[in-house]
Amino acid sequence: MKKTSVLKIIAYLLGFPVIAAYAVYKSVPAFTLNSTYKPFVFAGLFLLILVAILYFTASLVTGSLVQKKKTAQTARRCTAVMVTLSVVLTAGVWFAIDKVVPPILSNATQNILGYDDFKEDYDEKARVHSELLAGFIDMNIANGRLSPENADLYRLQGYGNKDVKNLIEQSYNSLNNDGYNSFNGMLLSLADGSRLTIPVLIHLLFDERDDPSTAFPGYTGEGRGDADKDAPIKWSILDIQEGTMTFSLDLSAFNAGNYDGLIKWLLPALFGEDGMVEELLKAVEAAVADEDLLGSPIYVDIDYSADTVTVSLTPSSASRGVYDFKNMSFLNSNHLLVAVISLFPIRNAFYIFGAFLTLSTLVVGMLRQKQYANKKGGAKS
Amino acid sequence: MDTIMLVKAKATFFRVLKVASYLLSFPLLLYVIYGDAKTLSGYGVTAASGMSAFKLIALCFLGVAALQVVIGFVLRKKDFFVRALTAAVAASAVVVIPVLGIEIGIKKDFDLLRTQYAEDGGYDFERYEKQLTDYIGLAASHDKALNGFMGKYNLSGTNGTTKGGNLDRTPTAAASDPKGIFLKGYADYGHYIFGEAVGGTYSMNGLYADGFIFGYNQAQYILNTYHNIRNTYAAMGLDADAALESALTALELDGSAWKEYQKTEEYLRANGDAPAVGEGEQKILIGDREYDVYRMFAGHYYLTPDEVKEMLNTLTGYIAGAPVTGDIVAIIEGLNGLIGLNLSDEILDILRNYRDLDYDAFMEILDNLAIDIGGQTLNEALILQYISDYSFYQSPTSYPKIFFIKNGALRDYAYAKYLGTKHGAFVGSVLIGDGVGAVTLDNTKGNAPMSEKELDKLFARIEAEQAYMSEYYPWLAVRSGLIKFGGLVPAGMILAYFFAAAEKKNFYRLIAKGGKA
Repeated sequence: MKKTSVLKIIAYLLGFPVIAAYAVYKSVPAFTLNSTYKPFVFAGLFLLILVAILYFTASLVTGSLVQKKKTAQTARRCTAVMVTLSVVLTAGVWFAIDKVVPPILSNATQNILGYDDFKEDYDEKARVHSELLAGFIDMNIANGRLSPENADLYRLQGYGNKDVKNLIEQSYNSLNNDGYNSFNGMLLSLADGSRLTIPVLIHLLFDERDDPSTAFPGYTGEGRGDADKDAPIKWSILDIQEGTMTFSLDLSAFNAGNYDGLIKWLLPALFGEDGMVEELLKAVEAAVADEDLLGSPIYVDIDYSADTVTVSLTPSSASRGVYDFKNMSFLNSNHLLVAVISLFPIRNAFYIFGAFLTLSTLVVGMLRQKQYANKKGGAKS
Repeated sequence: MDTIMLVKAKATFFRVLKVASYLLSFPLLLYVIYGDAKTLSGYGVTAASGMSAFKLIALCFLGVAALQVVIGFVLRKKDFFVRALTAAVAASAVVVIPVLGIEIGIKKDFDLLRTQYAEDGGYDFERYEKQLTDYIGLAASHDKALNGFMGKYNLSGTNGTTKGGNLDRTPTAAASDPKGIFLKGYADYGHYIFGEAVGGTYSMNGLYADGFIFGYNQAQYILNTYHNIRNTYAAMGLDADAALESALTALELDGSAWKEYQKTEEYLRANGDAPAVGEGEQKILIGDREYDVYRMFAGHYYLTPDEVKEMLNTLTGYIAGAPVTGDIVAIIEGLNGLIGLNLSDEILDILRNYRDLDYDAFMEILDNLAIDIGGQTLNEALILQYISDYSFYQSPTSYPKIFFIKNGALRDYAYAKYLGTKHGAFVGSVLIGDGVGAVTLDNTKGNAPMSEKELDKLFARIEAEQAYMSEYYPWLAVRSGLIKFGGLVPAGMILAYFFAAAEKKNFYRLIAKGGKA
């Protein structure tokens, strides 16, 4: 009798605890990286606990039933139920999740990230999304939208801090309403579909758009005083698209006629160390920020070497404390993404060790039968 | 006397052989055909049909399996050999009939098509016998040629894609299902839709919707129309572009249909003066929905010369105000007379008064400098031309000027040229010009175009190959499998019956022994 009990305990230990240990071990990077996203970061753990409760409750019920009835038939039936349950709770639950989660995920990421991006690469995703938050906090401490005095607190509390959480939401709303949604959807889909042609770009830059209306709080850059520190911002297409746009002009084919010699002599001189071009560009940048042009600053950088002029245009999104629209919408949905990421270590543990659980359940069932069932087959009658 | 162990072993041995023999028949054959069918499904030209013939054959084989069950029941009293023979005959029929059908039917159709294309289509394709062995390679080559063309011109699918509708949010529809949105023509000009036969998404005025990206069919139609009409004109010793130019000039004369059309409410709503305050509330019924008149004003979607002027004034204003501008002017002044620089007093005057620099002064400097860009002088007209080229917007709610060209062929030519250049430049699929495909900031020159000769050859090839590849190749895959492994089917089946009988015999011996040695 005693030997059977010991064996049973060993069988139990090889089932669920192994899965749980592996799952928790694999979840540690996500827990540490995204610790400020409580309780979202524990979504996977909650599910694990829920499955464990279901499994052990069922195990207790069937166990006591076998103990009470003491027939081999009951024992066999209970074993069958438990084995089925173990399959349903491991592979079955995850089959269901594999069906349910992908649409939620596409929704949260504007169809940019798919389920497959996460499945095996969840540690990397946990890192990326934790850096997204850290970077956002740093940008906004630097520009004063988050008080530099509390910098350490913001970094420590992360998403758990009310100021940070609000700022993410407000920044996203501003970029969404007065940026992304203020553009014609067709132009944006052409731009996203690697069809950002010059006419499309010009339409995006200069077509009339509704006036911005969503507050962008706490920003005093670009000459905004205390009075208009919460004023809305008219985001440009470069703020929405990914970062800096660079293009090159080949001047070797360019011929300025009589003045060719002059211009080609003058260009390197202007680009020289006296910084004349930089000074001139500052005037251009100020012009671009004027309501008559774009109404939103674009930082122009020009590099001249070997007959090639490289122009790079950088939007003001970083200095204002936002990412491009894609990353900003990730950040805005980060809590959901963190929750989704937390599911994957558990999912993999269940898929890999699901067979262990089934096996250990079967062994437990057989030991129970041996331990309690003293009558062979048939009903108790 | 065999021991029980030995009898058991024999039974197992025959059971294994039975299963192995059966696997050699249909399963192996289906597996081989499946592999080729799957490969074909991976190519665009046979993607839809690749598995069709395989599925049909698999179904026939399922029928044979069902027949085996029936035979087993009906002929249960007969010798196993009778049952084996019956099943094998049925299996052979399923193997032989398709091969004969393909050999006779498809070859005949194919030869007919080949002659037809060689005569009419000007495309000579490989003989049937050659295709039999190389159909997978030929399908891959077809795909490669097609994808090369699609990539170069940056096309989207066979029939194009619509990324959103129009910039002004007015409705779009297919020519086949107009939903009552199309304009009704003007005077004796009926409503006109270019390329109706190849389809696409159209605006109210019969041009493609702003966000419509050409597919293979549209690109082929536009390029063919463009080149064919050019050639027709050339054959008469004329230049289509010159003819188009003079037709457009004629439309500018007072009293022309185009001039009269410009006075209509339809035209003025989109292209007249900017809507006044309050007009924004106005709605108009198009098809079965109401639309905002304010948004339909085309002026919202391009830069007018006045707007450009205002923007440049802003820009020059900031430059004039920058301290560094004075330094640069001083350098230029100092250099005057040296290194070939001879600025007129006029320019020097403007430069010295750089603080008053504005749009007009800027243009004056440009005029005086007479800078040459690729054969053209950089001046106000050229700059405005560039800007209007890039920031042009044809309202979807009014007919374009080219609609009013009387000569049908010339009008087709004008539409093809407009779509291949302007529309193509917008959606990143330029079809006509020195640089084609996606002309973007990263790729300002675009891709090198294909010559008319290359295009003709490619279109003829694609059309001819699509006519037979999608239909016949799936059958060629079946044929190739049947020829290689078809013979194994009846043989494997008969062997399976034989081994089944042998297994059964040993099984009976086992029962007869009652489990005793």
